[in-house]
Amino acid sequence: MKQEQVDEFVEFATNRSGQLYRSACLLAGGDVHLAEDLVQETLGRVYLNWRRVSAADNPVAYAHTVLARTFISHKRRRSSGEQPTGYVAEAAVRESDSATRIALLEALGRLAYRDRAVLVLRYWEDRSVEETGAILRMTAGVVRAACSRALTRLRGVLGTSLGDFAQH
Amino acid sequence: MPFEDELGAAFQDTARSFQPDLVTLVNGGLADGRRRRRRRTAGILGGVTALAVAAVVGGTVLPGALKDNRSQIGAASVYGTPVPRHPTGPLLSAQWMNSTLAGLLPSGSVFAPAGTGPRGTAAVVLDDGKGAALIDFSLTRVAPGGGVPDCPAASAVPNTVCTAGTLAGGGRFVFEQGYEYPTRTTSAEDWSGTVTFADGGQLQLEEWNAPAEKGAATTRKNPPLTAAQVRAVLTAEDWTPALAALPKPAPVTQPPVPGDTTEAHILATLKKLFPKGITTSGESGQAGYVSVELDDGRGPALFQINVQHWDLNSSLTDPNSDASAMFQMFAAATTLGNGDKLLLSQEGAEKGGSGAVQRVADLLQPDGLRVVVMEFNSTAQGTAATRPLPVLTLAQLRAIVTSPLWK
Repeated sequence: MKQEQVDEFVEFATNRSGQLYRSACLLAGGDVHLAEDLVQETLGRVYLNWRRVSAADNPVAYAHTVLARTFISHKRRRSSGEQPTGYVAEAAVRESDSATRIALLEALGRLAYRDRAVLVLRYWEDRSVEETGAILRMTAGVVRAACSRALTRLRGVLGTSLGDFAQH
Repeated sequence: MPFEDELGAAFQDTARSFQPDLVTLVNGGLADGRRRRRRRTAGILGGVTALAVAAVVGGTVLPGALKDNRSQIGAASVYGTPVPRHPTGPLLSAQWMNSTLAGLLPSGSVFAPAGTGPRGTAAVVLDDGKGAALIDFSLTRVAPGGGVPDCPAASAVPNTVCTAGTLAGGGRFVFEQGYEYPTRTTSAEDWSGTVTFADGGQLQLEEWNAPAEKGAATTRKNPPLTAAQVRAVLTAEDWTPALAALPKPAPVTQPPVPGDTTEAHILATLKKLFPKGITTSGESGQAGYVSVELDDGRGPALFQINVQHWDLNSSLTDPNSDASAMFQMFAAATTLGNGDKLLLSQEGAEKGGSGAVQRVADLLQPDGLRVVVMEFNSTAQGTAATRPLPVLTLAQLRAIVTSPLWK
């Protein structure tokens, strides 16, 4: 790749890594090491196709799509039959975190990974049902069902504690 | 407030509480991308022939090879399944690549991690009793005429020691000793050797002092193979039939380079424009780009320049056109008396590094010639400052890009 294109890529990566990392942290249920790996793999895949990506209408959306799919394929590789569990990544808890943030990350970590991805895309990246379906290769009906199931679980775990965020 | 809205606010708050380490992410992403590019090249070039070979011999060779595995080597380990130490399986298959590589490695057990790469690549973990280490290998055939392989500029890969030399048989050997994340010397060591022959045959070996790439914990002080051992693996005759089976790509035809953007022209022009008392060293570059270290007697620092032609007559309504890109890039520029557009900036270095500062002067002439210079107060991007400020002032950078010598 020409130096000029590498420079372009580095500029893009520098500008977008922060937002990709935050999405990755939510997808990873607060596991910052996994989030770092997911972002690096995402950037690596974007670099591989940079000429095509940089000429596309929306390289940012492309990178976020790659991130979500990288997360899904990572989880699928690690555990083909993964079910919601009580496991929560150690890194989710940091001293500076509020109790509500910790509760949210723990609750996210207990969701099935596809349901978690649906929630992150819908409520953090603000994607429509159709966009979420296209990114995760699900039909709109499956997205709605996953969303409803995940919201019910979160509501059950978090109750009214989320109101704390809205009051800030 | 509905629960969905509260959840959106909670996501915002929680996500923003995570602080990214941009240097690690960007450098890691770039390193990941470069690895993928190397593997894809090997995979694409090796693919067609390898499949044809496998179709002919696959049915008969494979059962024997599996039996061989069980009878001669031990049980699977946390590092993967055992690999025999002599070639088995169809030429260029993962099995053949891994077993051929294993036969060339020093004593110890060899395992194949789960998952296989493209044809013509190998990935094994060598456990020689001194710490398990991942070793990646690929062979490919590059197009002749693509230039002589050499060490990258030190400024492009900080904290890396590189040696390059010509082999007795006429090939070229380049050996780099660096880190998984070049700007983070606490990360695993990542060494790589490349041999390129005159006919385009190219073999590459990459080794770590850890059993996996990326953030895996290190298991030993250094990767297991010395430069001489890597060279011996890469030049072994065992690879000859596989290299011969790879298709030969068409020679590279370099597009003509405009005279004012050749590396030699840019460097010669720059040397006329640097103020007196500045010494230069470590020049490197390519068409349209030069990198050089400047020193005013108070420590060296990196200076880079790009000289490019952009088609400003292209359509402004096409978001991918040259004109559109330059219009956006220079929207906030100062227009000089002769119509040139100029941007000057000084800020924290975009690739990080403790105390690192970058100064940029970016000039676009009405005919589309763009001259952009960038300098740092460190000798490589992404590394800590080696002096309080860059060598040249913004006024001196401005004088360089606005010089009539670029017209």
